[in-house]
Amino acid sequence: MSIRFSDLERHQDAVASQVESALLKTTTEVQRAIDEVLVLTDVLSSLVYIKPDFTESDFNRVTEIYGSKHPAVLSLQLAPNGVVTYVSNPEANRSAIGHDLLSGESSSTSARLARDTHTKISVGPVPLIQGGQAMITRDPIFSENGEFWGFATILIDLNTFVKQHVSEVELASIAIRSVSEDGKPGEVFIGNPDVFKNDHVEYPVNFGDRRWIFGATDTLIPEVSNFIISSGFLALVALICAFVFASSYKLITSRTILEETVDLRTQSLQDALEELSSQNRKRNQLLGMVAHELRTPLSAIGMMCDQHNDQEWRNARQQVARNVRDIIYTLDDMRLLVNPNLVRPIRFEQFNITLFNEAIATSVASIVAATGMSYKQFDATPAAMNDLLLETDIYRTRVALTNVIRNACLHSQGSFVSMVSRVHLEQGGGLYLDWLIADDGVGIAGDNLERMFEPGERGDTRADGTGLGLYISKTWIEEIGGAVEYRLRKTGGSEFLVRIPLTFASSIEPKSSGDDSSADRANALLSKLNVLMVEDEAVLRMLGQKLLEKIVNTVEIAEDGQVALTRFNTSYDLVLTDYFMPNITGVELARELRNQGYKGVIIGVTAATMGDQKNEMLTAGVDYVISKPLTRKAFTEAIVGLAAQGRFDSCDEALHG
Amino acid sequence: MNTEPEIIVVVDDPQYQQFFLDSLQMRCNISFCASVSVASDLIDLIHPDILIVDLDLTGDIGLSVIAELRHNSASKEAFCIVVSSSTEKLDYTNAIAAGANTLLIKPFSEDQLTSVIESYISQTSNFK
Repeated sequence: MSIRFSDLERHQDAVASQVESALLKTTTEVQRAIDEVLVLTDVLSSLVYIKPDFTESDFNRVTEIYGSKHPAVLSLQLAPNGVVTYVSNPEANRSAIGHDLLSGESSSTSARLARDTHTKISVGPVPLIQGGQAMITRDPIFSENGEFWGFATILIDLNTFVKQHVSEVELASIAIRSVSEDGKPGEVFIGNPDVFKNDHVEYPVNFGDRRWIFGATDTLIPEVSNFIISSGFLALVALICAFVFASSYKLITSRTILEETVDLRTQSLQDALEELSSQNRKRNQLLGMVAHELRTPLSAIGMMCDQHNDQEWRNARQQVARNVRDIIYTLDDMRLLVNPNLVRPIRFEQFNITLFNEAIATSVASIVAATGMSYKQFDATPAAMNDLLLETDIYRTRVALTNVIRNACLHSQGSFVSMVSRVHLEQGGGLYLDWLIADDGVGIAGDNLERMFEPGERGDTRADGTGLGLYISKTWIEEIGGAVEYRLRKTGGSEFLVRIPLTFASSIEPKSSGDDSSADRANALLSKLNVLMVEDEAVLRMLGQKLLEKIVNTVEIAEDGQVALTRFNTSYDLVLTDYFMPNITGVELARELRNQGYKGVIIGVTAATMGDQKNEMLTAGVDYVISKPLTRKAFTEAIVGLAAQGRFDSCDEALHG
Repeated sequence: MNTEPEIIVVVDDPQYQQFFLDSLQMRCNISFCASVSVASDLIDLIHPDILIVDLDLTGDIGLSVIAELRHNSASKEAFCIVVSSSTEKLDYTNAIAAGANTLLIKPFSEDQLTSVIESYISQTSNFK
């Protein structure tokens, strides 16, 4: 009996694919086991959460229950404030007690990283004094109010762990190597390093944040083949045997297939569950940070509301307004993060550089005061520029600058922050407006430098924050043709550059009497208007009514879209409607009014400054959309703008007629 | 970004400020200020490559102000152009001694200004 070469090739392929599938199965099993054992740090964290006043015997009970199920676990430890205080197997691990993880030479870097990034960090393999090697995973624990509590640590005996989950036969042809942080192949710590040098298949396994590569060689293929060739006749015997056992074999295979299917399904369900719980953790982390960001300005507002006399309250009003704006910024940031597809529409507005810089100083005053930084700003643009109106997306530019200054105050650990506005020239005369923000802090270096503009990135900082500031600043400024850049200062500290194209406003209105007369015209028009205001929020309705009563002829109010429709008649020159309302929304109301043939002006008011809501309203027949909060300035600007488009001509005529 | 020359112009006449802005056609960052005290702060922050000082600033300032601005470690390496309408004030030897690298007597043309700056830039390896 002879075997043709093509048969041999086919056979080699089959063996290779067997090696591959065996390795896949092994790595899947190892991955599951790793994930299972690493959960033990969560078990320890939950002890701290559930029973903050836990005793040593509580700790011992927990570690006995869980430790006994995992023979590879050398030690479980809790380190309040970074000092190892509770250890399982105290006989073997007594020397660890009292070790300060945050100051110890070998452990401090990873411990600090774990604390500052709020993530589990694994280290290893590290050699053990008693022989062998171990993996160490540290999980930072934070108390409910976000304060750092300490670490839960797990020490795993690598050799025991691998032996437990990889059979001895497999171990002979398998090697495991680590992957360094920059993705390069690391040292082979289990098995023969030659495996990776020859033909082999590999699969990755994650040990927490570390990556291992399992390699399996298929060098045994030729030996197997030779055996088969030389023992060709045995194959015949085997064939007969196979025939005899055919029926039982069929049963066995169908059962194996069924088992494998169940295994696969279970695995994919487990994967999904783990993915979900990791996402949950991330979400909780973000919510925690956002809650903190919102609490700070809100508690400041609360304190200001307690001011006793009128004068104090008047002084506090500006601060209240500033805090409210900070909260609105944070909420906008959140919306952007939750749905990155929401792109803030670009809206160019006119501005004056001096006034704009003053507004920045006001915006950052509270954070400057709170952090004790000294803050200076300079306008180094040519003097003539102060008499000119420039044009940009003011909101984006302001957010970017306040974010950068805020960041410097919170994270630089320096003593001063300075901002200079000046001009940047491009070859041939292209003009840009630059803001240079400098501090004398520690600067940003290494890995943090590359990641600083990524969402959710907080660098090596202990301060609070959502880590969104720089990401949003850069994205928004780039969207209006500018740039946000970073460099280290020659004398130490950081330097951020926010650069926008310098655009002069197309129509420069003289600041002289012409301005007054146009303001007079606007006031005259406003004082003639009869307005129907539709707002479901009682407080906003009351505030809006008070505001409008001062500047327009009559204001009537409707509690929602349904009421507005029943109350509506064509004597209104203007309908001012909210977007979100029960029963009938602002969009539906506008559409219905237009269907009924209403020709007057409809202005929409929405809290959602981003996304499609504005477009949705405009499509439904709304003339103009104002972002909440409704202010006198925003309302007047809207009316003046619409009057310039001739939208009030008919009502003017009617009034004159 | 490191290859953008930083220029600080200490000139309080808005027309001359505009003249400087209009004359320069190369890639650079240009900061203006109208007083010596602000100039000191800007020098600290910006570390200028080129410092242009007008001796006709309001207030009777003499060449000593050049020495004062040059005393700052952040401007020691800067190329310093001193401008003035008065040849008396701008005695060549004294100006150089005070720390000026070159002088321009008003009125000077755009070409004069740019040739002085561009010849300095082309000699300096930082901006290539």
